[in-house]
Amino acid sequence: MAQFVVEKLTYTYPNQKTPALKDISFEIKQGEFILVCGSSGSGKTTLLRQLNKDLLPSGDKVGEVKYLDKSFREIPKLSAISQVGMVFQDPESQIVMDRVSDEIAFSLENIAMEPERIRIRIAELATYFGIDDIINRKIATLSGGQKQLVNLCSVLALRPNVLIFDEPTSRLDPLAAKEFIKMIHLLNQELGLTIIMSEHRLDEVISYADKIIMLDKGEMSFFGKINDFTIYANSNIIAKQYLPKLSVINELLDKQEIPLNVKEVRAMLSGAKISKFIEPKVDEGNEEILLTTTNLTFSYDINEGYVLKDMDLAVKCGDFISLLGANATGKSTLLKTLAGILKPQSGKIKYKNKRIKKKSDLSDIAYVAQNPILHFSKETVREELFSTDDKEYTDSLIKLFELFDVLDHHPYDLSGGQQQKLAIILAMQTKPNLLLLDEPTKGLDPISKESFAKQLKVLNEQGVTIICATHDLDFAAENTNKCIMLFDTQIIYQGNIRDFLADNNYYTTNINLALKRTEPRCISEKDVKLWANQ
Amino acid sequence: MTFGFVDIHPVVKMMYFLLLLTFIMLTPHPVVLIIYLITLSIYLIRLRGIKKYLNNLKFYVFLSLIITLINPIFNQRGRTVLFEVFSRQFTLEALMYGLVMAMTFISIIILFQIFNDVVDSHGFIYVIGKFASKSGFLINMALRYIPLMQSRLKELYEIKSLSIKTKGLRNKIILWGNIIGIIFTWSFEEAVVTADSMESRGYGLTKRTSYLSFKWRPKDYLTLITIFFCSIVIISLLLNGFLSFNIYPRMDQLILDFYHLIGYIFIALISLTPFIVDEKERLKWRNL
Repeated sequence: MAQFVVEKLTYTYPNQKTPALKDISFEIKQGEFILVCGSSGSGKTTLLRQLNKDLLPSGDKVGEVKYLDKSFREIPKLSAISQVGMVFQDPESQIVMDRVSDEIAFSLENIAMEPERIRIRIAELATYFGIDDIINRKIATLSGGQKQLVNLCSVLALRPNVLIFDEPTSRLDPLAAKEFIKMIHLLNQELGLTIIMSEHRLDEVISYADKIIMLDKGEMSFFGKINDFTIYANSNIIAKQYLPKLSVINELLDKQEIPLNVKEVRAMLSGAKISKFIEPKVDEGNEEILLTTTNLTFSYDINEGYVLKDMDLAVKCGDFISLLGANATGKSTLLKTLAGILKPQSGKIKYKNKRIKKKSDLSDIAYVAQNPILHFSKETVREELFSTDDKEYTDSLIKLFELFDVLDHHPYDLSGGQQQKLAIILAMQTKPNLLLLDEPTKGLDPISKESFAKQLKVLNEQGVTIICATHDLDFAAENTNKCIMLFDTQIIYQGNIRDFLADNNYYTTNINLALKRTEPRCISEKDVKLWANQ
Repeated sequence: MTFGFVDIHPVVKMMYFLLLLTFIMLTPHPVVLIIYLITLSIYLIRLRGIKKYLNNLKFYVFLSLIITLINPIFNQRGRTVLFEVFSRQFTLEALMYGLVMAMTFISIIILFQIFNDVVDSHGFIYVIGKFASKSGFLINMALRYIPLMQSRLKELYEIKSLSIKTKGLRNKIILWGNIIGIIFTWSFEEAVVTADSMESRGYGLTKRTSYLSFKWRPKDYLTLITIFFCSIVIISLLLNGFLSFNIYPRMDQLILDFYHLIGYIFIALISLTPFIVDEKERLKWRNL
């Protein structure tokens, strides 16, 4: 029997003319793992909310959503919340309490469970998920991945049969995201929970999922098994963007079947005859040094040790550098010291051959924080942008970043990608030569990420030097020419990104991993496409 | 590791602080206040170490010196004139009154610092929740926002100080106005998600329970009895007019008779209860 039946669902938000969801029908069986994909604004969140009785928005609804053959209206609230649980995108704002144990107990206290039973459930969950060592910690001291795990536990405390996730990993770094998705897979496999999850990064989840729903402007353009989706994607450009990056390798062999992981690629390539890969020439170009640091040392608190120690860095004019490294290796700290936000304890920073001493020396360096919201203070995008005199220049930036359509929106109502672009335009208004970006691609869907990368390239070609801290190796390999790797307070590597990734055996892109034995110097999708045309 | 008074049942701990706060405010008596100052300091030094203790109190001692000196300047009541400047009388009584106020102030500050170290948020919420469960829940929610807002303010300041000048009062007002504005918009935006998350986890469906619970052990009863016994003695002395000290119009003489002695001893005892509980337990560990 189907668990969820959605029949001809059309939904329009109040005061809107065009429906957010159009004529959607599908069935979900108990224990299935369903992925929901689509670009920002395609209606993913709206659809997920229709599956949760407590979050049904007001508005016009035609068609029906049935849970276990009952209409949502017939299910009492108390049993609804213990049937369907939901984890949201932002790990921070869905937290209610101060401590981990309080947060897990929150939902149980709400349904007036006896204290003894609540304590048993907390112990049970903490032991199963291995968070017993942080159970008394304040949530503020946890990492993003741990916070999201606490949110999951709090929802699981009610023992739901269905879990709904709204882009749960988009605010996490790739490693934490991988861990979290494994946990969801475990819940699906071991406990048989039905999982419905919207996600941008399908690379990790696609091999765990059973079926996929693709939304396009509120319409369901695809619903079916993963295998069928790969076939569908062969003829659909938008769907293709959601396949794992390494699936592009099938272009080398002119094959119809699409590989989804490293193992499948290697099996496909073994024995196949392919021409040699001629790597694109690197334009050495400008040798002029823009910025150097010598013996840069920084520590937030001397008792906790150094974050950066005796760091020497050299950035040439026109470089597009990706700043790589695990969490808490000092990527953000390095960017902040270069931007003049943090004062290093010792060491020199030289910019354009002048030592930086005053704040006014820094007007030529722009910095965009990881959270673009920090940069906004006005009611509309237009007010935000046109406080400067140079309207023409601002106009050209808006054109470049394609923000004309949203000028009258509130900055908070923009999608993640648009917010990031707006923050960059704001930073670029002083016409800086050096742009420092902190994780700009976090949480972007593949389509907006690609357009964003192209736009950054245009800025770079206009002569703006960019240093960009990122966890996204695919983005780095595709777009940047140099990389800096931080490890243990030091710069471990500084130079050409191709040399770096080609030489790595574990820390590299999936495409490179898959091609390691065939052609180790091929690192990105762009390379594979180039190769296929050679 | 928690032990001693920190480990005592939160109801007993709260009772101690409540009673002591009342007694300190009810007895503006110089000797009594000196006893409070000494005994509470002993415990706070044991908790924090002498260096931190002095560091944390520096500012308050300075403040209380000002209180002591300001009272005789503006207050001319009292019979015993010490000296006269510009035909204004400085009286011993006014000085004494300032001193008593200052001592009360510092005693309360020390008491709150001990409270801060001894009572954790769980215990506090547990006790508040016993009387007013909604307020307890609200306080618990609010507790999360203090460090969150602090770190966000810092983050915003870092970024905004890049584009807005930070020197000068006018610039500072513009800068902080800007930051506070962003914090508000941001928090309201987030509150929508928080509300959804609470709703989908069943908030408001029934009357909430609390999973927090603390066991009553013999040492909790013993401490509670000690505190109550001392309180009864002190209260009955107060009701019979002992331990009172009139400053205006003429300062009373300090009396040391049997009843006052009893009073001083029991005041020292109640205020030293946490210290005694701690030391008793320390002794046990040492003897193991």
